[in-house]
Amino acid sequence: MEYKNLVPAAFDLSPYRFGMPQQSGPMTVVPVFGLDRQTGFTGPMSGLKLSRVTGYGSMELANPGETGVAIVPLHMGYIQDQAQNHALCRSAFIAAGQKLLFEDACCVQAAQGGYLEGREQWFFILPVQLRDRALQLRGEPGYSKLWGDIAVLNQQFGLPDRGHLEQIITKQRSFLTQYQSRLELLPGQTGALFLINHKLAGIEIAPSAAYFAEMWMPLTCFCYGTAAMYLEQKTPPKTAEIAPLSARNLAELRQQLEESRTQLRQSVQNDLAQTPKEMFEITEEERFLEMRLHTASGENFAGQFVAEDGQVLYASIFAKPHYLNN
Amino acid sequence: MDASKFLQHLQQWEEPFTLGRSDSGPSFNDEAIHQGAYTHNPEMYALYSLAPGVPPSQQVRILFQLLRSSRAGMAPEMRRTLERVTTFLLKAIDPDAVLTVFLSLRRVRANHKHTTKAILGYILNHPHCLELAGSRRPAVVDCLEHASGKNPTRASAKMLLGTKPAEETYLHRHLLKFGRDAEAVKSLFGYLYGEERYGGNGDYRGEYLRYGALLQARVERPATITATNRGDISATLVHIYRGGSSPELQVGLDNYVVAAAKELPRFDGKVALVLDASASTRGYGQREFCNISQSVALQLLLEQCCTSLEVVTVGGAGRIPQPEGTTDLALALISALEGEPDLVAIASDGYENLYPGDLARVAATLPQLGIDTPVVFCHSKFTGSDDLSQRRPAPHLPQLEFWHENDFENVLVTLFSMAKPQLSEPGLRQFFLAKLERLLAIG
Repeated sequence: MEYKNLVPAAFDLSPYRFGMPQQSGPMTVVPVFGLDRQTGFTGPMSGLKLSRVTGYGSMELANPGETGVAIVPLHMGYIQDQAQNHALCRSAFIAAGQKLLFEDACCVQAAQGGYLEGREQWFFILPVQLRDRALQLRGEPGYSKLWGDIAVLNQQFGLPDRGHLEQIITKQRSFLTQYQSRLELLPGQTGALFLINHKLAGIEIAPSAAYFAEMWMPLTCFCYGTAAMYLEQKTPPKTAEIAPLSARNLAELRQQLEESRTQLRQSVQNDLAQTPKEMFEITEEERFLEMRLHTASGENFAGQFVAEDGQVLYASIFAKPHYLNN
Repeated sequence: MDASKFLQHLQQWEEPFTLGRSDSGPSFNDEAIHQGAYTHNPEMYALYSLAPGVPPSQQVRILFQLLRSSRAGMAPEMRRTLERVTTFLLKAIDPDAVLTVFLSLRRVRANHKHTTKAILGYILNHPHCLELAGSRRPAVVDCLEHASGKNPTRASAKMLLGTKPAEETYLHRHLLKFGRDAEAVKSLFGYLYGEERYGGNGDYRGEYLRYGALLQARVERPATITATNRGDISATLVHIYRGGSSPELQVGLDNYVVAAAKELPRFDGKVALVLDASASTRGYGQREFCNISQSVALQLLLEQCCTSLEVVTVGGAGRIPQPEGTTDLALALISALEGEPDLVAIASDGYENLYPGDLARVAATLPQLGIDTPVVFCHSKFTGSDDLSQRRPAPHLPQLEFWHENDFENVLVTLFSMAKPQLSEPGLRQFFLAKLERLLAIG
């Protein structure tokens, strides 16, 4: 499929191939296939370790590997029972053998004592509704800086307006985690376009298929899944009468099905075509050898990406709430 | 009502079978369904009482129907089956419910020879007959006097109590030929009609509870479900999926499949299986490979049980497919139907993500194509309590569920019962007859 001209033109998507869109409820995923760099990059789940939390809002990650660099996924967070859950506001590079202290992390669980320790946690990516604010808050100290936005999000879900993100992503976990099965990761897939309710909600690109496989659940279930779940809870699907096709035999049925699928693919293309062109303001944040970590900020979309010699290695570009909700 | 609908009725209709104080017969509002099914095929009707998931309230109805109906003109082989099913039901049903059936037979004045034999055989040979008589004395007397006749029963009682000269031939014809132990019968009558006082504990349900516990013990239902306690076949497949390559695993798998298939029905027709081996069937964490393993277990058993099986795999490929790719069940169903099968089973986790709604649309279109082949959606689950709310891509198709190997009996019985009777009945009959003997051999 030809989507490369339909997404915000912050970087060149022409090296990528796009798969057939998958849909479940209000979420559509267009699989992205790019260069699968099987060495050199540490997986966010298998490689990155939360080594300690030194205080509220300070979180240290380690890359205990011997080779390769870890690109810390944008807005990665950790959940652990009996501890105050934290999330990061930015991406970063962590070389093999290195530890990195994030002093601008944000606590996502108000009024919960205890620090995260490097055991029995699972990681998530912040819900897409919170990502713009979190990105704006990168570099700023203050562990409670995201509590107000979390409280607003909780209100939208009809939950107590507290700075407790776990009210959504932990208590609704059994529903949210179904998105990773409702939508399926494909072999060799290195990224995805996420659409919510027919609008582009995010572009996620990973340096390798293995890296993206580790991102699949946090992205599908917790980042974009929360937005999809909100819509599903707000307007539960109606059990409408299913209209049969007009075929008179199996051959015709097969043909009509193919035609209807072509229409569906076209409709996803049309949805993407409605995405307004963006002029991003690009800011370099960090370097690692030849790699550059940039922040991209536009009117409707924002995010961060890593490029090397003009090639995108990692990208996490998301829609801002006002675009997604209007 | 066809066999599958009757089976579904038996499994889902749980209203009680009751007998009021008036002179009318028992009250059960699906009486016409039972009479219709019995008239259509008495033997299969009786055998369906052995199907998985048939509640006691329905077994009670079948017992009543079997005992109220005449067997005049029935082939000896069929009579024997009905006798054996009656024997099983009398062991498996709560004694109080059995007495309700007997009293109901009295109300509807059913006194065929097999009715008499069943009532007298049950009461006179009951392992706790004195306790039964002690607790349910009026009911037991009514049942005996209905079965043997009021005058013959009372005359026999006088003979047994010595208040009337004993006529051995008379006693034998009306009473003793139905009891295995003449002294026990005498003791029972001494209590029911004489001065003898009962000194037991009133527990007449012990044997029924013991037999019930033995039946329950046949079916493993683990309290905590793991990847390897959902049946031997899927447990072995999980190890293979995790990378186990030792020859013992393959040998074990083959043996488990053959052993399990021995206790499952055969189907002498053509079955198509749409096997969902898409990425989601891999699962994750502690459930990894559980879903695909149980679906493949179904496939391996169908290979053993069906004369012809065509497998249309969705996603991964191969006999033990690696779960990968998207879920396109609609085109797979069309491919399956192009082979003109007698039955189609779709084994899936229910997550349809590529063109959602297409399976339902294809299923809805089949009637106008003149295709009446039964298509059954078989949900592959991790536990019995999995949430299927997001996993019903074709809610108008008949649905079955399985998570443990034990569930395959119900899946196959229900699936096969949906096919034309000439294809399904021979295999189901043989299966139920063999199961009947296994159940009777217990305890």
